[in-house]
Amino acid sequence: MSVAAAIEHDAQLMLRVRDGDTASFGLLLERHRVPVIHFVYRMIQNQAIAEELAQEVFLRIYRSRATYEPTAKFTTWLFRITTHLALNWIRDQKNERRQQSLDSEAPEGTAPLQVADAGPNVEQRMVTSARMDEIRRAIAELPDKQRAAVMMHKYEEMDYQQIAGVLSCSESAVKSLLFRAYESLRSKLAHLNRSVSE
Amino acid sequence: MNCPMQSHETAEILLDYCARALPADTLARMDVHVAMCSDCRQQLAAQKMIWSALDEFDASDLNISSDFDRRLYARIVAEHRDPVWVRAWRSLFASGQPGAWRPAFSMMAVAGVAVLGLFLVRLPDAVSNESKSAVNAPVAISAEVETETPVKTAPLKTATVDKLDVEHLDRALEDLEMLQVLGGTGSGPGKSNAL
Repeated sequence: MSVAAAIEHDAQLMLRVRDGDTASFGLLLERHRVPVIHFVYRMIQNQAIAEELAQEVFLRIYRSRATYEPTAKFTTWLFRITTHLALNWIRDQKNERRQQSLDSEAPEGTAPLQVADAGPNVEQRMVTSARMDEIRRAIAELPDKQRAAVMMHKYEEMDYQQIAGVLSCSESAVKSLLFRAYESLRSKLAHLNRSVSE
Repeated sequence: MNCPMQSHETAEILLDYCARALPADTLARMDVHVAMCSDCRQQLAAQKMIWSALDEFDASDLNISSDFDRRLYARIVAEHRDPVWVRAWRSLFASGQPGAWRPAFSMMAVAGVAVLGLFLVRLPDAVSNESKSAVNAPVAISAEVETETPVKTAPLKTATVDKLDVEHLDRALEDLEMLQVLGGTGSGPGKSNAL
């Protein structure tokens, strides 16, 4: 299915949901469940909470079916809700941590990431795990909006216009967000490049 | 081709080049440029490193709970059992947009101003009735009570209230017009998902 056809298909499905066809909601869920969960997971790095927030996203989609108008791409709307919920969760976590003053070694909102077996021996696995931790930390340290922009640009392959729609800002603001985010990642992860080349 | 690294605005070309997301002709020109420009080569190598590092941050091995859909549908069914006003309240905020509640808020504000306007319109009648009774009361209750004070103050009160009333009414009408204009330009519930 082409991109244009997919966009139209989503809108058609949502219009059918608006008209009371719950089976179409099931199709939308089938199409977007994985991208939404993966996006939230990369944002907050906790699978259980990622699933919980993804449920809330689809619940909100269902709740607002009656007022749906296909004036924008369905995925823009979907990811706007998703990003909004993820950023809210991150903000609440920060506030909670600030209040409780928890002395935690793990980075914000993170749980140990499951890393696939990449090497045959323990040493290689440890190297992979450490490298993965570095990447995860560098991403977690990005400001929230920059992180969301990178996730959408890199993993959802959204263009600047669509990211701008999701984050409710201008395209030039998105370019600036991405430029600063990648700049920051480059400086934080530069040593990984050196260690690979050595 | 000008070096994209010379300008902050065009630096995103390198991002797109790295993602191979440029149009074919721009891609070909960038290929030629990168072969000659050491700054771009360096930047490109760094960006490719980030790109491959982010590729490692893969979520595809994530095992999504098998009961994800079941739990979601259970929540939907549970919500259907909620009272209508609870569902209406929820759907007001369902889009997750901060401005989604604006239409309802505008309507409430307009209704509030209308009630205030009605109150102000009825106020002069109430005050004049009060002043009439204040004038008549001493006569009705007791002839011994001096009638000078109420007789003098009552017309003064009425005059002040009449003056204030006109001002209040004007202000209330202006507020009402302004709120209607604001309500008209705000995004409706249907527009909350619009860009």
